[in-house]
Amino acid sequence: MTSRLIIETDQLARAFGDVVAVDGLCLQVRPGEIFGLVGPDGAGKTTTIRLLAAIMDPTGGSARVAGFDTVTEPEPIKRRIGYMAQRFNLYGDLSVWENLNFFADVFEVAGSERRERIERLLNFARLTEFRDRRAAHLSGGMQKKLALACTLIHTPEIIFLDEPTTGVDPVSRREFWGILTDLHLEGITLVISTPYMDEAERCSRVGLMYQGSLVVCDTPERVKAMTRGELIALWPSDPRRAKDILARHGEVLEVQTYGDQLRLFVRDAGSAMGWIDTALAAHGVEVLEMRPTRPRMEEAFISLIQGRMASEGS
Amino acid sequence: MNWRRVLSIMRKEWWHITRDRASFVLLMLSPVLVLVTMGYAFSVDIKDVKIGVLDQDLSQLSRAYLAQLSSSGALRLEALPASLSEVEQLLMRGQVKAVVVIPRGFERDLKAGRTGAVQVVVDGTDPSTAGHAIRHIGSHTEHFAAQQVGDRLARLGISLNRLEPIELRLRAWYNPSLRYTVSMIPALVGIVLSVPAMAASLALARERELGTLEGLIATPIGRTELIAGKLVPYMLAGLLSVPLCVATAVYGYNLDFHGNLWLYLALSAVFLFATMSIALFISIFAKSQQVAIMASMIIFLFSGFFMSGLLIPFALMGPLLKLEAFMFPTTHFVIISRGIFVKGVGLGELQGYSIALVGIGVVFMALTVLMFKKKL
Repeated sequence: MTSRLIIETDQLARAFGDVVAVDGLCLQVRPGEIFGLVGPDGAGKTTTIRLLAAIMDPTGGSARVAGFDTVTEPEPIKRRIGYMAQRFNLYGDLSVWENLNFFADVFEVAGSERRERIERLLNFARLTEFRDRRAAHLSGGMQKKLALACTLIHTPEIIFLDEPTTGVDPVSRREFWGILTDLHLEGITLVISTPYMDEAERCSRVGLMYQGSLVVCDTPERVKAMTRGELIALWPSDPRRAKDILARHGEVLEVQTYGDQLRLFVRDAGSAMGWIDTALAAHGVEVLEMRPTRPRMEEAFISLIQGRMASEGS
Repeated sequence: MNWRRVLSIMRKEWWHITRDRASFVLLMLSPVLVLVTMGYAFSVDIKDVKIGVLDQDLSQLSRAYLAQLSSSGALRLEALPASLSEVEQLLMRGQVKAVVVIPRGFERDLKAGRTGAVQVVVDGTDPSTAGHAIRHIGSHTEHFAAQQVGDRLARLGISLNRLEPIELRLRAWYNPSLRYTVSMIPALVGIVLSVPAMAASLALARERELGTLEGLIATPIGRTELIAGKLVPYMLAGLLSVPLCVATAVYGYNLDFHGNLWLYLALSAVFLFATMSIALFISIFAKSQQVAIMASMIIFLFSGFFMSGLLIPFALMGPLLKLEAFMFPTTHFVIISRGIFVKGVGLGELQGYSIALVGIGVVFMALTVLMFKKKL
């Protein structure tokens, strides 16, 4: 069983003084997966990735990556992984080509293999025509692609990506995910943290982190199925009043707002479509549009976090 | 240890140095700039101290004494005040640094065989100039007094060839005219060659601050490789500025270089290794560039000036301070630099200091490699 897992943590914990960033984390990743770590800011995603990349020691528990212990055997791990930190961490005063070459030296990739791989990665990241440009002068999206290319120079078994697409425009984001999907198809294991729910949907499995531990860890489909009741999308004439009215209604489990739109979790969508109209009309709020819909990761995520917060509060 | 990796880090580091114009200028030219500015600041050989004389006697002998006082270049007779209040004004305005008061009855007392009294008032706010004035006024006065004794003996029919039984013949070897620059400039090279070490300390702290170190420690790079790759380019940069410093001293300050230039370069390299080791050791603990620069400035500039025997002689230091000075590379290099530059001595005479530098370098380098952790 253990041999089937490429990453396995046991009660992994890391505290910074009084602040516990990662708290008894039990995580299992299978080879070839795209594993998504999602969660609000400060949930412990970055610390988790650093612990797994063996560049930070835990204060409790243990982790095995590619069969090695992160504390006692960090070096074999570092030969087998690629790590892309959240901040741009290449050398801005070196060109694209020089950065790739530097990491090729660091990972002891030499000879014809080295030339071949650098060409392939430049092509892969669509950076061939920018090879002589200094990394600092690349756009944000190109910098991310270069950083990814540098982590791939030694063909790692596992790649850790800490919020790789934060601050990247939608077009570059799509392109970046195209590259990640190609890597996934090559059989590389990807562990990626992201604040974007649409990215979470692309993962094989997602782990939802909250306050240092996993709230759920499953496939996106199953996570979405964890929400209670059925979902209705509603566009009322006065969203704020409508929210107050509906939140008090016994049939409504949860109300989330998205701009002018309300998303209601109700026990039964069919009957709700009938009474919502009248309930709002009684208070002078008009229904502009209303339809039953399927929950997205975003609703599931907010619902699960709110549920967790409510259970902590009581 | 993979040499290819070390070379790659060295090349990368060299690119950092040469591509950032500010850091290139700082590293290559600042030693010379610092040497020029500090050299001038420290090389004020005191001469021409302005003095005033209040002659209340207005006699033949007082005139002769006055002439004696202004007979050398050390003192310059600037004013002849007429009253004590005028004397005070001169000192207040800083127009003179010392005033000699010749009292009424000066000639009469001397001729009658009594002791003539002369008062010297100095500006105590500037002790080094005051000291200089006192020394020279004193020696002129002694000379004048000896003449008076001779004259009186001659009147009594006793003639002597020499008045002083022992004559002091002072000869300052290696620096015959006791020029301050001759001793200061070679010593200051020890300060300015700390600049590359400060830059190295800054370089590691910058990688930490920018987050590039986070990327590096996630790779199989060895810590020895990383430290060596950082050390060598900055040592090279430092070595390149050594000939510039020597040229500045020789052509800018008219110093003679008496020793072997190759030995000087070799021992400079050893010195750079020692300072670099300390600087990199500091940057392990420095979480930001500010901390790194403050710490290395305190260590290399503050201690460099005050603990290395450059400004404050060892004789004045307590045993603890002496021990601290011994552990500090600039202390040894100041002696080496003065030795080779001014005295022209060889490795034989400088063996102890050179071994001390190697020791300091090796100890701190070992500590740096041991304490550098590939962890955040």
